[in-house]
Amino acid sequence: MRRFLAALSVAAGFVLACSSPRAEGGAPIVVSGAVARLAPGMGAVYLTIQNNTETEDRLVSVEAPGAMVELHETVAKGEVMQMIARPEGFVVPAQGSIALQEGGKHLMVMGADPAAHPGGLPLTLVFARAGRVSATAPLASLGGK
Amino acid sequence: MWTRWIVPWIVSICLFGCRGSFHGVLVDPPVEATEITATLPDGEAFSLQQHKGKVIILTFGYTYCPDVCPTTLSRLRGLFSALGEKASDLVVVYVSVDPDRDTPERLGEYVSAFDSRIFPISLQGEALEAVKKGYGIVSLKRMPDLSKYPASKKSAITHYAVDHTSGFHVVDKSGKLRLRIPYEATVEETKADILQLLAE
Repeated sequence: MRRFLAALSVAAGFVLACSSPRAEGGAPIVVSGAVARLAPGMGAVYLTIQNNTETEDRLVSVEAPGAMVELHETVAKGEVMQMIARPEGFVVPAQGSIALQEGGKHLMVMGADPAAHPGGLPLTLVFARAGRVSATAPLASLGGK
Repeated sequence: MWTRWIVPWIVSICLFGCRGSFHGVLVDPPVEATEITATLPDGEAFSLQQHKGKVIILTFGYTYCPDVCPTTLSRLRGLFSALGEKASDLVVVYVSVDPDRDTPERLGEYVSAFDSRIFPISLQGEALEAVKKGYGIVSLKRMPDLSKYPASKKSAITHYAVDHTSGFHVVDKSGKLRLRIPYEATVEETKADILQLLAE
């Protein structure tokens, strides 16, 4: 009986450990919703970054094959839109997320050839703590909604 | 007794109706739209005044812009779709605020990737400045702050951004600048404003 209870406790502990939020996500950083809008010679990638750890992280750079990628942010000053480079990176709060989206933070992609990536633009996001994280950004149509 | 409410209701309805229901900001009073003449990428001549009788949207941007300008151009393509048959009464003009890089050919290739109905206008020097002044457009080169880049990357950073006035500047069928629609307006809101002007 005691062996049975001990085994049951170990099993229960194992199940509880596996059901913690970080273990369920499987990764400290999760990238989702990526989409690439590539005009001739210039484009943007938008995505969401979830930080599942207890420590703040920072997206420091992004790589894409055959292209130069920079971190940028659009800032509105009245009717004037400013396009500001953010080489210092984007902070992702602990147990939090940031969204790169139209009119805000985004990845500027120069020189990517959409025809070379029909299945989506492969990306490697480099984080200060989490290191390299891969993602693929499907190509969005240039038609608007 | 209920009659005491008639006048306030009539005033409220009149204020709403008289102001119209534009999402954009009215140019008050309307001003004659500044003429724009240019050579298109195919060598044809463009004149804004030749399109009098149609509603004209002017917007300003540049091709090295990753976010605002593609978003704007995508919305314009969506607007053409949303207008259906009435799209033939709309003229859209995209003026580059980056004369150093946006040659007519480059601008034409870029704009046509979104919608070939949009006129790409590449101007230089005083001609561009006159158009910017006529429509109240601000644009400013933003050079990269190289102090923020690691030494290994400094030499690779040669591009600059251009901060610029966003949104749509709308000319009515009589050739008057009537409306400024902000960048934040949705395609449906823009469509509603354009339909009002088309109905005049």
